[in-house]
Amino acid sequence: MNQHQKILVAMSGGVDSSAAALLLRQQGYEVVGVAMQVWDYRNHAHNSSRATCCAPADFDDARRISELGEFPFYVFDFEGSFDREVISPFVAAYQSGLTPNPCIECNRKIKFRELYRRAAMLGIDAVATGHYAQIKRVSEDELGLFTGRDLAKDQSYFLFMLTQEELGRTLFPVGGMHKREVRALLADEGAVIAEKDESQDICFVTGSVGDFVERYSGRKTDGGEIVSRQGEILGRHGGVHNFTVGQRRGLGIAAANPLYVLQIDAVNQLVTVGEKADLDTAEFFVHSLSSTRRAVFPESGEKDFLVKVRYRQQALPCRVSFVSEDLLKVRFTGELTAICPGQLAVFYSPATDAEGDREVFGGGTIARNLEGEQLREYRRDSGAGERGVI
Amino acid sequence: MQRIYFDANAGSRLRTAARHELNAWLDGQSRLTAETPSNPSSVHAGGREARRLVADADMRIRKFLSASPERLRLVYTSGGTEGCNSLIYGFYAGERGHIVTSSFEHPAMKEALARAVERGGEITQVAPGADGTIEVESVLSAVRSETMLVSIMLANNESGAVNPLLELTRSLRGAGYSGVIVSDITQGVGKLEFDLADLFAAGVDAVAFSGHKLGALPGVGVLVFPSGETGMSSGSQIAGRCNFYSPLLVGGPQQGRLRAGTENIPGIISLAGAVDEIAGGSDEARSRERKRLAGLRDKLWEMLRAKADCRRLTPTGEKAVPNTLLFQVCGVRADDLVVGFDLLGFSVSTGSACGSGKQELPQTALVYGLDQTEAAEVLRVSFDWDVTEEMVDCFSTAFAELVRRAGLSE
Repeated sequence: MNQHQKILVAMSGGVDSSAAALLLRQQGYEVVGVAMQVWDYRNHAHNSSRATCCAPADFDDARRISELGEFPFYVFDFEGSFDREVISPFVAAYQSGLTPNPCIECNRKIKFRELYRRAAMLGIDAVATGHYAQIKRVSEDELGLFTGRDLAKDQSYFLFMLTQEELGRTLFPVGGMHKREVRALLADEGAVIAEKDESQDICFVTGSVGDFVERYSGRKTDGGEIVSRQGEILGRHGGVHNFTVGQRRGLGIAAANPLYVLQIDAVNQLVTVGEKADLDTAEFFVHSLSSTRRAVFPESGEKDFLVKVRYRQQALPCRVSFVSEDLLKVRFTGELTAICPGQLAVFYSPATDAEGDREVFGGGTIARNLEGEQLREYRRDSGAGERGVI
Repeated sequence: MQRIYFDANAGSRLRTAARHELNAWLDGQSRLTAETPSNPSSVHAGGREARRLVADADMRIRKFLSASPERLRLVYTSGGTEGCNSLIYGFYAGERGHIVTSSFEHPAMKEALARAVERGGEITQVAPGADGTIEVESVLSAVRSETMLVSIMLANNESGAVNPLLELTRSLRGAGYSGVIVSDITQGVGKLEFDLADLFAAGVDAVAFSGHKLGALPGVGVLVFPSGETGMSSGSQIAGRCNFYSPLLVGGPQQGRLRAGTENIPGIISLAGAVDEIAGGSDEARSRERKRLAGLRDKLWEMLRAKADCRRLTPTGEKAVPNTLLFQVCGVRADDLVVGFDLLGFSVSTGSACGSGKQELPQTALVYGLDQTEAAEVLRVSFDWDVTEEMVDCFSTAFAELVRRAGLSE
């Protein structure tokens, strides 16, 4: 895109965002680099060991890249916002028996929102990140979000909430590249970046999520019962926040076949377990929708998509039908899988484009296979939907 | 792009005279090929030349600090932080007494005090009054019979508030206080007119300041004692215990064993050049210059408050140094403003320039009663010695643009 000349680049100090910034410089853009400090070591005792992000060394790496690329670089404090908009809802969701995805909330509430706001403040028209995703023109008046060229690194799942307007102001400079090309770019520029743990785990939690939730909220619950689908009590647990649907470990129950968590009832502190076959779901609901383009989801009748119900999963064929405003029903048409209420479902085009990339149309929050009234009650009780809990 | 530098309290740009001194020194270095006059302690010709340079600089700096230079004993340090640490460590090491200080000292002083009482002792922090300065009465009522040390800065680096150090010292001694009185005078030197000998005569035991706030090189500072028996002013005696100064750095015998280590020659001679330039001209000329700065500062304030909802935190009139303006821009984040200004070519800050990474909240704003959100909207402008009306006008225009964008982006 060359209608924008000055770009605000979100930099973490990692390989991808560093390469993105340098690539933009190579292409002749003016770059301003920005890092978000979301985690100040001095203030947090919730983790027993170092969190994976926001160490002072990370910003040193980003700073060196800015010196190499000869562009200004700043660090902004997001600690308060991050705690309020990401960590706090994350803990609340776990305590409600949901499995939230804080990276999505961070992208939605912090990363992109703050980037756009800051860009406007600094008189900059567009922002860029190191995400592996692509934006292409799909019609005369619309842009589309696409998977990254390197499918092993594709991060389009985390970007489904971007609106058409935002797509027009965003660049993903490394989205069309493979990871090895990105590393080569840095090497060519003489940039040495410490290899960081690039796991996709939560940046503010090390160790178990359950421990983090307990320490953060300062509460230990009494726990409750682990039951079979038939209601038979099989054991006790130390709090629903220690569990996620589909989990196998940590149940502490001896059984002939491996047991998996099927359902979590936070109100009654009940964890229902069953066998693997019981996990698979044929259909589920999705609410709190967002779409990258107009008229993507059916307003009547049905439409076919591929859907990812978790990040590390293949997109599966499904049929989507309209239930009510901001509520869709999704039915797998091929392979079945387990779903986790609270996670995000992201919808992809069944076909790829001429370059072999797949378009991302949008997505929303997964809810149990409840219908109508029950779903509304569930949403109200779990604080999902209106209150924006993940 | 010509940049405009309005962050002198974080570090003043090198003064022209300081630069000349340094050039001369560098030329001298290259001339003497067999000897480099780098160690004033050496017996040989090179050492003697180095000693001469330092002694010469020392005389000029003492003359700048007092009309009676012979009454001052200067010790050269690595900067303001070492100075503050020296003041505390030097007079309070392992005691278990009581210390009185202000609640808006520079982190170097604050941390030195905190560490000093780790092994025993207690600190009372006196808050500023409604006008933003420390009141004599507040300090007097905080001092107890077991108070061993009082440390109140001459001027605050964030708001520019000037504390009545002379009056305070006289009152303390007059009331019978016999403990140590020290002060971080970094932000007052060169901005306020005072004679250090008067402070010592009133009963101050030692002061410290940083060189680069005056337009010298960074990496040099000064500890000042009354000459004579070091560490004891006329009014200072701790009952039952001698309280001579104890050096922070030990090692070689330099500077009368008051601060070990080879002196920072380029730093010291740059400081001599800087103070010569500041002192240049008559008392009247200097007074006019201070008034000029204060006038520009107040004019800037009027222009800014006309463009946005602002709240001034710098005291008015004589209660503040002339070059500083600390103010809140209601509803606009100051870290956005600092970056916005930077990209437009203006250098300002939000508070102490001492962190790495994110910008810190100005502690003084919090001390003045602002909450965290309000403190995050506080900006500091501090003029350097070459400020002009035109610069002030440009800044005001840039401010209006940034405020407009903030309104748009909300």
